[in-house]
Amino acid sequence: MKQEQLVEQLRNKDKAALSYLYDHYGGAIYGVIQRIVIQTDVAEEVLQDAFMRYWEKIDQFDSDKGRLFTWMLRIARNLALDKLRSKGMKQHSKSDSISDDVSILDSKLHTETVIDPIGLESALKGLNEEQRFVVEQLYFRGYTQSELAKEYNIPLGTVKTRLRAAMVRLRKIIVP
Amino acid sequence: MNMKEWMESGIIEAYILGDLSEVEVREVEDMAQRYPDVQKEINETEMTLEGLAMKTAISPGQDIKDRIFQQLGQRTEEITLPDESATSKSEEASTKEYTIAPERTQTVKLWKYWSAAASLLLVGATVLAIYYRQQWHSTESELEDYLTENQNITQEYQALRSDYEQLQGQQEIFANPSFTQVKLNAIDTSSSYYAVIYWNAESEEVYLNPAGLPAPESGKQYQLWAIVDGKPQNAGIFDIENQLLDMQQIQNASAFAITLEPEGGSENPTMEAMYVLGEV
Repeated sequence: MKQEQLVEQLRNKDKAALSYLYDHYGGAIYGVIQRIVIQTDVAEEVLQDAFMRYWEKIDQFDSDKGRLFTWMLRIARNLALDKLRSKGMKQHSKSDSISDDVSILDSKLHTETVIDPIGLESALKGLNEEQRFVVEQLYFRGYTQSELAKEYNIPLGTVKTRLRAAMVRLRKIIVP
Repeated sequence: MNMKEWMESGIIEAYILGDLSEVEVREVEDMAQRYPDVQKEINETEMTLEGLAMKTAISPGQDIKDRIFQQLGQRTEEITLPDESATSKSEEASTKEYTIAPERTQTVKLWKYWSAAASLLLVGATVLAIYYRQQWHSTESELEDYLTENQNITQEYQALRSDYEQLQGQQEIFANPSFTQVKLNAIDTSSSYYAVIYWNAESEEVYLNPAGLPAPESGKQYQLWAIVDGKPQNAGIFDIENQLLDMQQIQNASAFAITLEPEGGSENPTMEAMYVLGEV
């Protein structure tokens, strides 16, 4: 379905459009949330909140300013980060690598859900360690660039260069 | 700061993730409006992050979707409730009108019955119309669900099919006796790096399985070399991928080696950066 058509239907409060939105992007949005808040029950709560928000606030989406998914991603990310703060939970520290977490998640979720076989690790495979770290922290942990620089004592400029290099590589891998 | 530096400053990524202040957001949107290059960069970064999210999707629990729609149902009921009370009020008002003038002639009374019967009929017809309309709506949304499901299945099928075709291609290489398998072993014997070459000396085809190599440092790329008549010959640069790579054709190779070179590859191999080597 085309983005304009989907947005139009959502604005008309068409539940089938929300169903479509969920079927297509629910997993991607959930992946982002899950990696920020880690706990499954919390992540599910945030996912539910996010979709209620998409349903109620679709009028605030401005298609001139970007893609629908980006708008959804921002909302989900902010909800997840708000939830972390409200629960006094901390973003994860440097010592636990993201792949460890993901494998914990995998085994936890194993009985009830199907994990996308491609997964985080292989998606980031083309990056070197420094680039991967920056992408993981910024994108999946929800750090901002300056928070990350401060927390790990990396110059902000270095964070930016690594992020940039990572994005250029990822673009080659991901966008066909 | 020039435009290129500005675009590469990480501000676009932060904009997309919603990590900027309002002032900075306006700055980015202003630049995007003025410069098509900036808009293009934003679009491509959006696509990249979207693709990354899609590739790293995790399926949520089965019941979450139901929970969302339940919550949705509750909220819409809250909205429609006042509407219903409004209609019943207006009905009250109309029945009142009938009772205002009770003492009239027989004909008026008869007319009253007829109109009451007609209103009843109208109410009945309306109820039926609403009922069928709802039925029709739910059928329509069911149909949409099926269409969506169908689309999902088609996509999954296509993904599986392309995986299958890829595997089939690899299988043909493995099964073809004209291909010689060459294992490239680590130069640094303390590491367990390796790579495997499948070389067809007749057709000169070279395939490489790079799965046993580490991810390269930034700004570097691996390069495959064939040793032909004692001299290294370029057989192509490559990135680590989870599949068999089709490399450049090679004649009369006596050995293959892989080195790590600056991005874009080198004319001659950097011997100190040789990772794996294997003789045919």
